[in-house]
Amino acid sequence: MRRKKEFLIKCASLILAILASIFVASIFLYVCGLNPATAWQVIAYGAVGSRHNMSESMVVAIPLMLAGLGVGFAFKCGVWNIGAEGQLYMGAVGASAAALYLPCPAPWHLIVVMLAAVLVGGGWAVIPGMLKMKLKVNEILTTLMMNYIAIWIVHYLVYGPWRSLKEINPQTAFFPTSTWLPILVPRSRLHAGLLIGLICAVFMYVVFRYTKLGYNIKVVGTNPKAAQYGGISVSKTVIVAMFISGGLAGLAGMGELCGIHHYLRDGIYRISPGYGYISIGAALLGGLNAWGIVIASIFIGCLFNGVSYLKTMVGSEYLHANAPQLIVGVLILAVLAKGIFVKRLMPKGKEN
Amino acid sequence: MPKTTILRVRKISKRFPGTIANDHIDFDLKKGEIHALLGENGAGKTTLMNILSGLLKPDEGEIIVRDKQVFFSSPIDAIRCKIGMVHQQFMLIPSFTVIENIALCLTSLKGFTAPTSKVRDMTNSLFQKYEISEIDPDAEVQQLPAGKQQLVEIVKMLAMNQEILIFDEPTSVLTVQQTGILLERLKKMAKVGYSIVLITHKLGEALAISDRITVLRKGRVVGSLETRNTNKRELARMMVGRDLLEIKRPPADEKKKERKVLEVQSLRTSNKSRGTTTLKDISFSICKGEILGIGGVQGNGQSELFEAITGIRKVVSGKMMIKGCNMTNASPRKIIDMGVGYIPAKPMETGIALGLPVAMNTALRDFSPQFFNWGFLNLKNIHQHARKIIAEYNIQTSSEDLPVRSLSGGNQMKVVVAREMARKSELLILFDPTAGLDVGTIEFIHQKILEARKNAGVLLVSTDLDELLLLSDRVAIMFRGNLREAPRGFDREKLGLMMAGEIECEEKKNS
Repeated sequence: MRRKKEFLIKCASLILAILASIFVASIFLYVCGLNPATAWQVIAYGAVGSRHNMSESMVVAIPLMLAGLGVGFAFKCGVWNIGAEGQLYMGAVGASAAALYLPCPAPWHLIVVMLAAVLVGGGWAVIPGMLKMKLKVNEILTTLMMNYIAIWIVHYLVYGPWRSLKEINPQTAFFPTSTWLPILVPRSRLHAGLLIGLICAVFMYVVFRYTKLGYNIKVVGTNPKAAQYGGISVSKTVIVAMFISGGLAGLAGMGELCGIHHYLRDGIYRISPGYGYISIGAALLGGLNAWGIVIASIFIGCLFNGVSYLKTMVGSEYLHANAPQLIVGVLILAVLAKGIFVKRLMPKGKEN
Repeated sequence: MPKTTILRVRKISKRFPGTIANDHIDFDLKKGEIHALLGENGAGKTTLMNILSGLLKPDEGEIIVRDKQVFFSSPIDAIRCKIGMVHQQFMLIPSFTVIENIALCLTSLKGFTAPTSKVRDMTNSLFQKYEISEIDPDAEVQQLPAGKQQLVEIVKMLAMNQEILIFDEPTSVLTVQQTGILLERLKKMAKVGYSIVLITHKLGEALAISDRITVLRKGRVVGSLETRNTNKRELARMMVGRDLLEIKRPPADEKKKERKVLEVQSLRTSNKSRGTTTLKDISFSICKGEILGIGGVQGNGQSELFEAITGIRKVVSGKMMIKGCNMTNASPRKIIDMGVGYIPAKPMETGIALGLPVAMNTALRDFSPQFFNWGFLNLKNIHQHARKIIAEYNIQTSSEDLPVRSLSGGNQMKVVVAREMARKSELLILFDPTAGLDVGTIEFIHQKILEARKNAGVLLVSTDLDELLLLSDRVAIMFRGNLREAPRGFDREKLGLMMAGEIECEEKKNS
């Protein structure tokens, strides 16, 4: 009875938080010279109003889902990995290397590309994990800083050794079609990365519910001392969790390349407009729970795509290019602060 | 001369979701008396005192201080009524000096910075008045041992001119000797007119220094007694609700004693790590079917020895054999797999993951195929095992899926004890297994330890001499990193002297 009530209160505060963020975002839209009511209508249409718009929203949700699940793994282990962005870029580097320089027969090539993305993205995340365990370097700093290194590595490769001279823009050559992810809905950009994301969500669910690895990660995440006394190797667990975390973010980078762009590029055409950072919000919004993260990333994907749609409709004289990030940011902030609503509502529950 | 009542509580009730922590409680405190508030964990002692110190608001009832009804909306209101509380966890800022901590509590009331020199004079005069010479007022609080930190808390209360002092389990962080000193100090303070509430679950303390005792059970007052008219037996019955069993230790079974489960030879640890005691040449052995008790004042190397045996601390020389296998510097995992169960010191920090459900915590450390196979969890067995433990150890929780955090402190401890005892270990290493528990639970755990002795060797590290004498077949004392076994028939007094390093037992063996 009481648990049911608590659950209802939590749902109510979630809705309140979303309403609050809509209110704050409306102020922002108003200040930009838009009528908030109309703007929200356009956003809603842009998010789910047509088959095309819906599929575009899902296209945004895919990298958020993959990277978000990865962030979930690290956070569950008590490691504040905010380097999903960099791991996504490194995954893209791994995928590009395999796609361009490791030719193999058709069905295998895509698998090799995926493995390369997981290995390079995961390996990139293992570095801060090692630094944390062996030298006690704060992982928040290292993961964040390594994002910049990763982005600049991509910059170097695209302008330097991997640059294709056939193209005008700085970019690599096109990937062979054997590495392209199949399109799920004809005449859309919705690619099979969605299936990979859902499979990874099942993977995360199974790991945390049924496996010893998930158990170890949870114990290390809640009380590393108890884990150590309980004979669980903390450093091994952290490093494995970081590898999975970075590997999933790497898959997100692979999905962007093999599903959409089919080449690696940089500059204003860079492969991620901050998906790695937004995915942290998706992970927290989803309560670090596999299905929660899936739902949260679809929701954020819709909002992000909806605001992008509004942005193209009204043009840059009204909305800045980064408006989607801003409004998603407001939403995440409000939902994470929903605790204040829970607190206000809970005492009433206590009386009964 | 009849003493005036300074604090009175009438029909106080406080409900938390699912429980009534305080159910119409009446309580009064006279000027200059020590009133002990006795009860098991979860009896509602701390809730009542949190209400009196303004941290919680009562659902019903009234509080009357010096014949005036008061309403506390925050601790500041209570402080204004001259009610001060010394919490179980000290409310000091570790990186501040003693003076700075005292200055802090004064300025927080006035709202502007108090000149340090003034606070220094004040502190010094308080130190003189209460004959406190052991604290350097310029020392950082974090460098002081627990006993001295507590003294700083008390001085803080005195500096704030509090007249009613509430102590929440003040002896739980202290050693035997420090406890004695504290109790004497409380007596003196009561004599000069302070009114003291002593919250405790230790019968001995309540009987030793209080004038009156109020016993709480399950949120209700069972009775208020004059201390001189009562005794341990009666109080225990009131607290627990039944007569306590007399625990008797049958002599160890000599037949089983042949098999050594743990043998330690000249174990040494590195003297390089700071803040720890170096183990110097420690040797002992434990056979199946006996309990070796290790006593000593806290910080003489007991925790280092514990860590060395459980594989958490590396040793630089010496040898450790478990069931005849050399396990020197083996990993904790390997040692656990040898069938070693242990309860670490501060189990809330090291033995349990508070955020995880009870069921998951009962499976911790036990990676047997019963719970884990091929990397997967056997949820059915884990839950079955958890339910069995919950029933057998009478752990108060409505479901094994609730996080351990939602349990009371005593029940959290029971989860750890139950988990280690439920495994059929051949070697049990227990570090203060009853610290902070109430009489009923302690009795229960003592019985379980004696039961476990039938099939296992037990190493019991405890700062509680009574516990050691009650349970151990042999007693050894640690002093400054050395371990000396006490000859048979050593009593409390002599063991106390050994703990202080005044008797070297090696020499006495001859006589």
